[in-house]
Amino acid sequence: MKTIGLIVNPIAGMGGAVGLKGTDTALILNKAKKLGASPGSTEKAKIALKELLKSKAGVKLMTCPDSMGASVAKELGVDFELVDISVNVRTTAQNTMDAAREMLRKNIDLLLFAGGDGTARDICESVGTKLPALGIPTGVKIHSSTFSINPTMAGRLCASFIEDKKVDWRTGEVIDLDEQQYRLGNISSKLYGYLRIPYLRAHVQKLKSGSPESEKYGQEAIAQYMMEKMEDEIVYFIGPGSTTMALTDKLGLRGSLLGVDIITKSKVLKRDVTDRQLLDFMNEGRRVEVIVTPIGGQGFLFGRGNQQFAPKVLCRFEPGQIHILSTQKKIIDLQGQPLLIDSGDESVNKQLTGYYRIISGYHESLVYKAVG
Amino acid sequence: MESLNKKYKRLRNFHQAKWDEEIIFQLHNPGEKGLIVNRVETQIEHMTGDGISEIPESMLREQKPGLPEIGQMRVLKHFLRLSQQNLGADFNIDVGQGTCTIKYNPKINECFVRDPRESDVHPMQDESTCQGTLQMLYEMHEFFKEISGLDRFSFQPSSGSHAILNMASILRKYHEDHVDGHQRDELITTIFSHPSDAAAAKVLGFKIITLHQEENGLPSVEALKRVVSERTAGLFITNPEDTGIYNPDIDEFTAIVHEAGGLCGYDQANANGILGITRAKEAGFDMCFFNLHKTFSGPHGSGGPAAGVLGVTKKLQDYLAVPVVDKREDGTYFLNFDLAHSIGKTRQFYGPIPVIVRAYAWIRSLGVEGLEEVARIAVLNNNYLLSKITKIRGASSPYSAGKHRIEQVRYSWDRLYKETGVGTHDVALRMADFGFHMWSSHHPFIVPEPFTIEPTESYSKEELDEYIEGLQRISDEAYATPEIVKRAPHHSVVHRVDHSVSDDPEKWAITWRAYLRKHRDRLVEEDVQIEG
Repeated sequence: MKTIGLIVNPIAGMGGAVGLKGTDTALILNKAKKLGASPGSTEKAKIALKELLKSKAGVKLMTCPDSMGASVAKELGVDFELVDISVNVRTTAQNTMDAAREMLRKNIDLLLFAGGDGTARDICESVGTKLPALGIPTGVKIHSSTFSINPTMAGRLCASFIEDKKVDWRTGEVIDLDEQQYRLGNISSKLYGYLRIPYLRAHVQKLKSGSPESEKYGQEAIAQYMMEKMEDEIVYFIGPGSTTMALTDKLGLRGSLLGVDIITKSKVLKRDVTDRQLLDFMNEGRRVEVIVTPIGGQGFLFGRGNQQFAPKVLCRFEPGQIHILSTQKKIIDLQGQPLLIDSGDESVNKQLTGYYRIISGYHESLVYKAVG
Repeated sequence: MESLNKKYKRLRNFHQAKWDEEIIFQLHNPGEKGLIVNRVETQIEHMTGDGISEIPESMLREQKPGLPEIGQMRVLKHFLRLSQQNLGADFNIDVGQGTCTIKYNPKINECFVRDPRESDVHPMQDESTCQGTLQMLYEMHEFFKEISGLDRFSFQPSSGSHAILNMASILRKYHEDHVDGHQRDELITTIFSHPSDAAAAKVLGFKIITLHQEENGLPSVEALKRVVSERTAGLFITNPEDTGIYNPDIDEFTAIVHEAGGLCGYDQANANGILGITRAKEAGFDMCFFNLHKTFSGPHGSGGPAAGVLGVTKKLQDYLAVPVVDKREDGTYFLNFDLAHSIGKTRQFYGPIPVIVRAYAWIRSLGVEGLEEVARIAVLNNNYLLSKITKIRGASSPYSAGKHRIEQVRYSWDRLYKETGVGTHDVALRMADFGFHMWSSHHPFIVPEPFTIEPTESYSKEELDEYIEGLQRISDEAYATPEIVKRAPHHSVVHRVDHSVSDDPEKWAITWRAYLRKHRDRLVEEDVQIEG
């Protein structure tokens, strides 16, 4: 019998409805409460858990005290084991991290967490990819691709997992905006790492066409094609993400997963650089092109998770010098919404708007629009 | 439930037959004979030998093949029972397999195929002795010239995908012969064209560029202009696309590709709505193919036999696969293997003759006006369904709202799924409870929760109304009692199948031998006879 962990961030989602863009600090949380925000996270967690419990396969539930899970489980009348952590009356990020660590120690099979990007970040920081996890989307900011599309689907996926159906795994990006900057109107986001996320191929892929590409092979095929296209004398600014990382791996280089690197086909010139360093490098006069992958579930090409590509850097590139790598699935999941460019400068956004040939497989590309 | 039964009177109180039939290998009964082959007469044996002793020893099997031994009557019953356990095209209102063009296959055409004058013709016999068959092929060639406007046809390809592979071979050879200083290795297609357009070309080494659809569901001229270059080998495209939307800029597409030095191939697997209305020639194509097992009434036969007749313009006529059928001045017909740039033979002998015979009979029975009427009725039926289905709660037809479609529509249950949790797969299984087939494929889900309905010209208004009632009722159930739909089918032979097994190399089994190897433990546990 499998053990599922449940961590509910009860305050997630409270800032959104009252226009506060997240609840990462106590001050904002108070403000949210004063503005009349009511917890929706608990309700959504309940939907997911209810869906999971519909399964006939038995399951052990491990959760946190009170509003961080136990109250939801009690309401549904399900037995559970409590993790031994102390929870503040006003729950904190530290509580989430403690709970996740404790669940990892107790060898649970899958962690279900209800929250937003901040919660995903806490999970990522405490247990990383060591513990399979899946987010129930309840927060204001959902830029990370570690969440199921809705609470019901999270429960259903979890049910398939406990029923020993073949579930596949992918790495989902954890992205978080800097809330303080965001409230001032500045977008500033970062790729914080990855979680190991289950997904069901049967839901999205046809059986007629045989075994669908797994993300890993997809990325490898993309890397192989891009490698063939790369030229010896060109220098590449390569953005963060596991898709671009697959390319540096293929080239035999040690790239940084979360940062922007400056590379050639044969070596890393500088790792994890800032926008300033990119600019300085461009002034050296070498031929430079950009390799990026859209970040997160919302299809941002620039402006989320890769802010090193600042407007003053991007303004010096034409669309033809920008190579986009992405699996076909990631593009199709956008449901026709164009890739988004939010560099922070309108004229740069306009300059980069247009059709791109996204490398989506070996010798395969998808022509898709990006708009600023 | 009771009230729904009253509300939807057209729906049948259907239940599928269940025979609990074993796999044929499990019917093996040692010593039981299906057929006893007579010994050859002594006189013949004396002249020819026994045949078997001619086979080199190294090629002889050491063990008997593991085939089941079963009497004829049991074999007959076995397959009849299985046939009652499916929802074949001759049983149900088979409009739910959009893109497959499931229409009536006139049974009289089987008589022509089974006529000894056709079925006993041997491919190796002299062509002077099978002039009738050759005449039929020649006339078919003339018919397709008229239907498409192109100049020469080959009957070698034995499926749509095979025809695409032939097109890609011609494309490659043509560019090899016309080197203009560029390496032309890029093939452009669209996301709603058949995936084989990309796949078959990729097999031959082309790099594939796929144009994604715009908000109106169609690829844009602007996107095409952005990607054509001196590397462009050609464009392979479906029109109407899988959405049933006709690309009105198609002549501009072909012109742009021609200007860049490429060739254009038209995937006309789904030509049912445009017969006699539009032609490949006027749209600017250099090549096109038709699936005789779709538009031209051949049965699909569960994946074969099929025919994808391929036509080209004069410029490419010497590139076709051989042989083609030609007529001498004296009025006799012959197989012409002598095409200067031919891509060679792409199939054994002369094409899937039985499929061609059926299509020939179908075309002859309809005539010019009949073919056009097929298209007009198919389009009318489709738009009748469109107007009804889009009124069903939870269903929609994404893209180009308010516009007519050609022969099919790719609909979406997205709203139903979001509001009730019932998705297209659930609806498809519930449809089986009323004796309908609905296909929920079309992955990846570019259109969310898709289903594609293609009514063709074969179905009456009453039948279409019955099918619509099925969809309507299931939508009602999804909103009122979703569990009924989610646990469907209730009246079928097989309940929900765990498809994850077919994604798992440890468990999948395509042959009986593989099944025994991978699942022997379970079979032993269940005390299933596994010899054979």
